[in-house]
Amino acid sequence: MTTHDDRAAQVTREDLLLFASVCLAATSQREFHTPVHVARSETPWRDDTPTSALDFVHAYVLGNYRRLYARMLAIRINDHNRQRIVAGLLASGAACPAEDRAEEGALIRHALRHLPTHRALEVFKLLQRERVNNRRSRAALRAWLDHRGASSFVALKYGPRLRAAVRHAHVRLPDEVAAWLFQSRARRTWQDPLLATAWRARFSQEALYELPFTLAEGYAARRGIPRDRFLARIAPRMTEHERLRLAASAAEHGVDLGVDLEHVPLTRLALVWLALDADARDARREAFRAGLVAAAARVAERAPRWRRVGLVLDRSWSTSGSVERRRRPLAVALGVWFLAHALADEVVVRWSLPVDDPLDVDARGPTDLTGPLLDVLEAAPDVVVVVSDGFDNAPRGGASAVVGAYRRRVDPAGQVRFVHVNPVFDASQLGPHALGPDLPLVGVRDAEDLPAALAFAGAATSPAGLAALDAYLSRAAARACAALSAPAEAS
Amino acid sequence: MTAPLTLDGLTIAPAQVWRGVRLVPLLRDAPMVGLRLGVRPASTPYAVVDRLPDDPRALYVSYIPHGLVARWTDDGSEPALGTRLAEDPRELARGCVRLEHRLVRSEGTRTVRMLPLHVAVEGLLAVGFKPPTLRWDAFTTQFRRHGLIERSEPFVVGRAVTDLEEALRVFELHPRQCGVLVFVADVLFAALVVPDPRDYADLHVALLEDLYADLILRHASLPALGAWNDLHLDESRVADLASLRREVERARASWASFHLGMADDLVGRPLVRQELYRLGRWRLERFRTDMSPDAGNHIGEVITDEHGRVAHLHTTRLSAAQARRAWLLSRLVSVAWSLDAFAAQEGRSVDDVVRLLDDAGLAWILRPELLHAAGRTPVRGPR
Repeated sequence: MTTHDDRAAQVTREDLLLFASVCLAATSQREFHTPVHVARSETPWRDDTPTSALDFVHAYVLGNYRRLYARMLAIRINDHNRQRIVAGLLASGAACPAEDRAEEGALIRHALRHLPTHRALEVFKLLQRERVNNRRSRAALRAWLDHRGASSFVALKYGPRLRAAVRHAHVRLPDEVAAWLFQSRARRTWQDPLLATAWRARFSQEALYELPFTLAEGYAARRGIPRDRFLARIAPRMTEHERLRLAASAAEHGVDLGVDLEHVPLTRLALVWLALDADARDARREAFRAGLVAAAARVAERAPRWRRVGLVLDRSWSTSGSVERRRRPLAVALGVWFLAHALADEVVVRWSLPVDDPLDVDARGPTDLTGPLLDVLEAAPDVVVVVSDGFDNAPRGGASAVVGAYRRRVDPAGQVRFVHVNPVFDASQLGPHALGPDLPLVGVRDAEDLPAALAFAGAATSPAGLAALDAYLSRAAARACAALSAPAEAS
Repeated sequence: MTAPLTLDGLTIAPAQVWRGVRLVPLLRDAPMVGLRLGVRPASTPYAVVDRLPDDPRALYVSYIPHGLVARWTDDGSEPALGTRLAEDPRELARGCVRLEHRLVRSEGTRTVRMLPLHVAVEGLLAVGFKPPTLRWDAFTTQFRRHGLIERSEPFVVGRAVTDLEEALRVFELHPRQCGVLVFVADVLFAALVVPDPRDYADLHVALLEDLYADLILRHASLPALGAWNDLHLDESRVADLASLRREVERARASWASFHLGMADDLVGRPLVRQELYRLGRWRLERFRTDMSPDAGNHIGEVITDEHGRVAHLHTTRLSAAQARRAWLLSRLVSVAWSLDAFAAQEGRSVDDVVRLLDDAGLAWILRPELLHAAGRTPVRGPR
């Protein structure tokens, strides 16, 4: 009987670790080893169902572990899975047990608040397409609009989507916004300053430059304003993210947007760096290095410290990613390099192909993790973190064989912990691709997810881990609910 | 001209596997200096090559997706490559078929244009092409007068094999990689070696446009190779980190012999070689294996230096039917087309030989009464 219970607990644990990895890594986008038709629309075991592997995992966990499914919303999962979970919960409200109802509702509101606007609206579009319309989903839209405020901006930028969501859920908008969306706009005077400016921008170029960049861009294109003139004048109205995103193309037009690298998140900064060409790299190398160090330090503030860590980082050709996720696996590896140096007292790093300055990495060569693992183990670290997409091929299965032999023959007491961190979702396996049975695997999306991923992997691999995992998630859920009721939270 | 092929100077790296396709990288410690190969894309993939050197009457028509340009220097310096490749006026002539003059053609000093693999395919087709010089009664008048008239061998273009395309896409090139062995369902289908890693980076994708025996389609539809461990450690020999490292080194050393063993129907096998061209100190040859029905057979072309080291190698496997045809024809040529002598050598009856020829699709060269006597139905003209 105990063996049966043990086995059941093990299955639960494995399911949850898989789902956590999926929530951190899967985006339904094409990956280096996963063509788009596999990523989006084909189940690997049956061709007649038009659902993706990700759909299956979500339906399975929602059906079997509903409470944990909802509580995933409280931790740092990626937005794509957050959307899916919210939509899944709202579409199946009747199945929710009464005692969980309040917490689930709070988590849904919390998740919607933290989604970018277009993704929150995407959730409501999904509900509309699935013909889900219940009291709870309508309340969720109302709560989101109340919290979002400034619905005139949403109406201007996401007009059709907001119109569809509001129409579907029968929600009242402020009168002027409703008028903008649903009635003739001519022969009106607009009290709302944003709506008034947007209306004037149809006739006056000066008014155009008073709009936020994201709204002004469309108007400028329609009026045929030259790009360089437009960028130079609209620069003060850009957000930091927009500045970063447009810095390269603005430079081509001779406009310097004055990007401030201090506040860019770690992985995004790594991605921007890896996208630069050789000249731009030479000019801005130290600025980026400082930015990456600062970004890593910000993440490290909130995370537990490490003593001695060994890093094995994959920079093989497959880390170039796909058209949709260009160089992301490499950017995560680079981010982990900086994060580990911020978190640990001592770091030993080996790349799959040696490189002197980590800022010089590019995606090249085969995936040889065997030699780097042996080198890292020489330094006797407490924990060895392998960042790789899981396809080691020089030789195949080399990493797992070395770790297995080390754990069984050299270090039976288990003084060295091993974790394989995988930023790539493999749809054909319903999860990130594992290096082998001897390396615990956890999926991530950003380098910033690393501390959470390690906590998760630790909980899930220990025999008493299920309770710990449960406690971890319930603490995170309680924090999220508390933050929701606290009026101080503004963003 | 029967020296076997060796891969001296090339290191065998661990294989990269995608479903049923296993690609084994071949590395060079240092590139071979003085010779470079480049790809020249063709305007249309079909070409007529006239004026074959063996037989002035023969016309060679084939699917030829691109040309290879070899450039060499005599003093061992780096040949310039890539400057003149697109300026060939013939490339501009659009049409459904283009005209190439010769399979190997000099293009100015120290430059040669080759049509990849077709030197080898032409060698295959030329076997037994000329009519017999003695007037044997066994053969039809048409064959006695004109010989085989036309010979064709079917091949499959690599792009038709989905898994091969995907395997080449996800393959991760080694920095020093100068070649590859292509296995499908663990059968060697092709080998490619070039002098310089930069040439390989260009030619890697061209493997998709190459010719493969139709057998590759059947092999590619077999179940994928399992995800297994290529590093076989004997854990009883591991006690500490140093011994683990030694054990890994030992396991690494075993790959080379393993993969070389898998390629034993090409490497180390006696070859029929024929020299075609001299490129300075390099020698371009075509070769084929002995067409023995007991082993896989390959045809290919090779450029070697004066020490016999392989600078360029390009091979493709023949299907069993292609190999049997080539074997039959070469044996018949060796006995001057005497069916009796051939039957005596093989220890079989003439009827058996007739049936062999019929099975190989060569029944039309025999007189109908022979076929009737052997219990087969005569056919008209080449199939």
